[in-house]
Amino acid sequence: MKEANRKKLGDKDELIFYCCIIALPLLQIAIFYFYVNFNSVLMAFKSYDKMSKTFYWDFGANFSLFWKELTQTSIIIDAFKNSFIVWLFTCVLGTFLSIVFSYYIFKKWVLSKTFKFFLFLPSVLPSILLVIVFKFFVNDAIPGYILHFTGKTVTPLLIGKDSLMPTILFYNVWVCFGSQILIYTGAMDQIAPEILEAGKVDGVSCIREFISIVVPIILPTVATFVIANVATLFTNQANLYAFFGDNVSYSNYTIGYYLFELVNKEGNGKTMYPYASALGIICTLIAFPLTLLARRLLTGKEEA
Amino acid sequence: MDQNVKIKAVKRSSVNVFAIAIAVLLAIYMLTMCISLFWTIMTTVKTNAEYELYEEAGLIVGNKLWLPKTGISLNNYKMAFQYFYVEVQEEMYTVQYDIFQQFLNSFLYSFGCATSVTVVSLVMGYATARFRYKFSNYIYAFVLVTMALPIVGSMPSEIAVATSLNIFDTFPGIWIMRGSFLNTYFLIFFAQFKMIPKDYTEAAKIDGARPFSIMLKIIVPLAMGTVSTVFVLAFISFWNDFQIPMVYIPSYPVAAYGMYKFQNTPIVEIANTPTRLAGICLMALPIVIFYAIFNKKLNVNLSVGGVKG
Amino acid sequence: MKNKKICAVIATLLMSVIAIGSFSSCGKKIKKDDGYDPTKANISVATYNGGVGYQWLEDAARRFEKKYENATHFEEGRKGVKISVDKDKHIYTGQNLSTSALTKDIYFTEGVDYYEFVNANKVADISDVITGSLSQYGETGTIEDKLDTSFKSFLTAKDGKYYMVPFYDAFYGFVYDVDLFEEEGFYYDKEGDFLALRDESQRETFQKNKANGPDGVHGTYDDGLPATYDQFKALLDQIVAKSYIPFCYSGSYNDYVSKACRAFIVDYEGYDAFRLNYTFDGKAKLVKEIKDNGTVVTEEVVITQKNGYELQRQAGKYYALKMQEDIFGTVKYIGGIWNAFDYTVAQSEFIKSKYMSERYAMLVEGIWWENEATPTFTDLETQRGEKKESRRFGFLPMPKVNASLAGPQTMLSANRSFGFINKNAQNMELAKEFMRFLHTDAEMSKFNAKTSISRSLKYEVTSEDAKTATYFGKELIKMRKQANVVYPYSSLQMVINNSAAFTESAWFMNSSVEGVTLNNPFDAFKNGTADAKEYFNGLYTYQKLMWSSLK
Repeated sequence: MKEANRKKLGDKDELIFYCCIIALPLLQIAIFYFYVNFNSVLMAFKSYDKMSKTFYWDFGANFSLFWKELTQTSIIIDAFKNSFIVWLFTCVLGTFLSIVFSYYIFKKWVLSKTFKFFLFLPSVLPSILLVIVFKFFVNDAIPGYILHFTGKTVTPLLIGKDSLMPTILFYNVWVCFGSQILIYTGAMDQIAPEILEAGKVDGVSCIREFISIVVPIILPTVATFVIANVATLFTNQANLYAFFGDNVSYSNYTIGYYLFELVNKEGNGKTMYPYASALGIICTLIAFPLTLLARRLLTGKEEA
Repeated sequence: MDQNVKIKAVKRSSVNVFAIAIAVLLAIYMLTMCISLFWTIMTTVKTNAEYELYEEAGLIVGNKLWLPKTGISLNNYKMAFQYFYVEVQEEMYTVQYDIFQQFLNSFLYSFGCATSVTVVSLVMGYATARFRYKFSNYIYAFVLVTMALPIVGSMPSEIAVATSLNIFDTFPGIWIMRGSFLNTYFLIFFAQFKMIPKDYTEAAKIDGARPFSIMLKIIVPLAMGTVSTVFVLAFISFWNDFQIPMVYIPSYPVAAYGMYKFQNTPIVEIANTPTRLAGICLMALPIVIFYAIFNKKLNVNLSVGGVKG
Repeated sequence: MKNKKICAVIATLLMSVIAIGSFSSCGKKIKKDDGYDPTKANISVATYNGGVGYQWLEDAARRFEKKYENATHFEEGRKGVKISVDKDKHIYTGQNLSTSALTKDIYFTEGVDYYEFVNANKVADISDVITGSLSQYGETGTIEDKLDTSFKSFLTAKDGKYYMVPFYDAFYGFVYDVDLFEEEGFYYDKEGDFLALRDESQRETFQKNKANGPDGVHGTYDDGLPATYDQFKALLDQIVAKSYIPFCYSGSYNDYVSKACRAFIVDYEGYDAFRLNYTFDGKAKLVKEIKDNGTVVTEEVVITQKNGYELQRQAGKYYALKMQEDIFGTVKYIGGIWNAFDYTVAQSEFIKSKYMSERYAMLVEGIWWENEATPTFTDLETQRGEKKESRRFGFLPMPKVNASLAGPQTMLSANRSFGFINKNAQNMELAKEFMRFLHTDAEMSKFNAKTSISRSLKYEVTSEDAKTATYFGKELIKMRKQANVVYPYSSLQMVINNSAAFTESAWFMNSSVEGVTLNNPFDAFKNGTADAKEYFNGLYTYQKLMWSSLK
């Protein structure tokens, strides 16, 4: 009886504690997310009248425009396709390389500290520095050196028809390791030494150790990153604006860049806000189930 | 004895295959990074006259690719230092913020925001991961949705709200506004706290510990490594951000904004590639130092917070 | 133990940050003397310090202060006026100003979304300035008299009031190196042969022998320049034959090329036909068929808001695309390689190419380029001792489809630049007076001479002022004097509410070719995605499809 009472008391205690600690963050969200963004989301069902500066209800307009752009132009399809490719490279390839690199650092193999320093460097340096330097390299330096040493003229990589997208993809992978490496090496460091020791005694090879011991243990951490990354599928601009400003061909658009352009392109004003909002909602409707699916696949949990 | 030898042999052979492959990749990566940075530093010590107008055989060819040929000059840094200021309009006067003032603003902005975002994400991650209420699931799902949902044009309404709460253009205001858990950090903490076995808390509970002290004295210390990692990540991203401070704390120009302006300056003396790059390097210096120092601290913390998987 | 220590350190740090944060306003800051003068009436003026610069504004402010040095009516108890000029390339763009509070009294900037500003209730009604008398400056008319009719209807479409005044003309096109053209004989003589200036002493004969140019009149600024498309292309071949590169352009911002080629459309269509793209009301001559030999057959169609997309069949649009394809569709005329220059690099390469192994004959740019390229001129002066003023450049008038179309130029001004007064100006009366002053013929003439760029109003540059302009500026003044200028503004509800569909980049560039949507003719021609005819037909396909989605 007493035991049960205490447990009940403890439960109540916990509930109060729970409510207390989430109250302030939730209040913050209530004000700075819900209140602030409520109208932005409703905008998807509205149109903008510039003369009276009002958004008026216009239920189907933005969605029918989306349908038209999806079915009768190549803009949306290309943007989806590019977004997916960028995602594949930054999320799948980037994550894979990050895990492998982290393992190298975790094992403290030759130069691992130096490598770690360089892998994280892009996250430390201002992105504008990296963009300027990278742009110079692929557009001026590489063609310059090739011309100097071989006498061959090469189209700058960000200009050439076939080299543009690969170069953009390379850049996005090139700068994506930082935080992942930090988190994964952190997670690997937390693996109990006895487990690895046991493996060693059994004579497990490095590859085996990596695949059978390390990866499964840090999988929850990786899963977290991948899940968070699914969400970036449609928000990633792939640095297109940093490289080209407004001057990007439709065939190279990503959804993230398209959204950015709709809202920020000079001359558009607020007229495309509603359409961008609708496009955002449609993308969320696609990304959310994908995120849940990824979560289910990676963690085996069935939570909503 | 025999076994030891065997292990060593296995270790060596697998190092040869696997480690070398990764090492090669890493070396290539490091090389690309080094070359770019070397080129950047090399360019900053060239005069623009050499960079653009270097002559060979009476013809202008420029020297963008090779080592300085007319000597090393630190003038670009001097110029960058001199012109690295931001002017802010205050009533009838313009106030000039020099580079140190901007660094101070950057520090206040980044440290405060990084602290608030870390604390909030930590607390929410703890609450949702350790307490199995239905509401916790809703919060988790909600975070995922918001991360996927690009919100369009909410800036004016955010400014309006901040202004009406009297926190626009103040440091505490921006700290509160950035103190949100709708981010990856929340997910990281969530995963971290999910990993810690229930036994830890159960044992403490039996000893009569209250929920607050369980969180603060038992669970959070175990996650200290993650906390500092998240803090450093957040700090760095805030440090390099210029758009948010530009809009929300216009009276306190941060160094990233100073650099952004420096990049687009109309002042003839500094509107050239070598000086611009020198300006960026100048701005990056404190954060690189910060990283170098904190990097060591990080490793210590991680080993302190060692938790079995 | 260690954890506690860390916690303590973090807590202490946090506390100190909060403490410093609350007192940081007491930190060391330098107060810059803006020139606020407590004995005088003050206003502050800001400008986007782009290609137009800010020096013109400083000069005008000093003249204004001098004129009103004894005025006491602007503020009680104060004698004289003080105008503080602030220039900040980054802050004062139209886009930035539309989202932030206005802290200055008067602004001159570009990229302005007029109705967005007006509706945000930030700008003062200056109808009295625009329609009021300028007699105090010895003029009989009003500023309104100096506005193009399209501006009048656009600016007053909301409620009949004026809130802004147009700022400067932004023309894109081809800048040519006059020195090179004269030395190498890239001018045409009356027989259609190339003509060079062998010796300065023969300048008179040289001028006399030059062909009439695109305007068909001898003795004007465009004498000797290519009059027709064919002559233009022959000139490009001649430039290549003489081992020069016809064009320097910005590969990273290749929309400059498309913008420059748009000048072909405007010049071919002329003022009224081109304005149809903004009024959607009138008769248009549209392409019915393009024959295999390139001959264009046209028909007349009545344009209304219902069938506005039909305007995508305007012949000028085809000719412009065809010219763009012929000139920039291959690397023949751009130096054998697609470059990745940024526009400032393109300017610098063009200027310094005089001393490089390969020299460019022309630059694809806007008319403000000379001001933006000042750093290169300065460096070149240090190194080679050659002053900016000693280089001669001109702005190429667009050649015509054929010689029978000879006549004055029609030019398109983009950039949406305006001047306006903050609704909460500290001294409205003074601000308005300064606005009036800036829009007198005398001041606009001085602006034009100083910047080489014309104001988007009607006035004449005095011969005295013209003397102070650069060579390029002088050429532009002559050109602008003869030209019709079209402004891309519409007072139609349909256009205003769908501004994204009618921006120049959307309206003139979106095209649908076999299901592939294109927005960049430069890339399309470069990558072989479409040819000029396909791109042209695609303009119509795309806009017809989208027309029903306009709100």
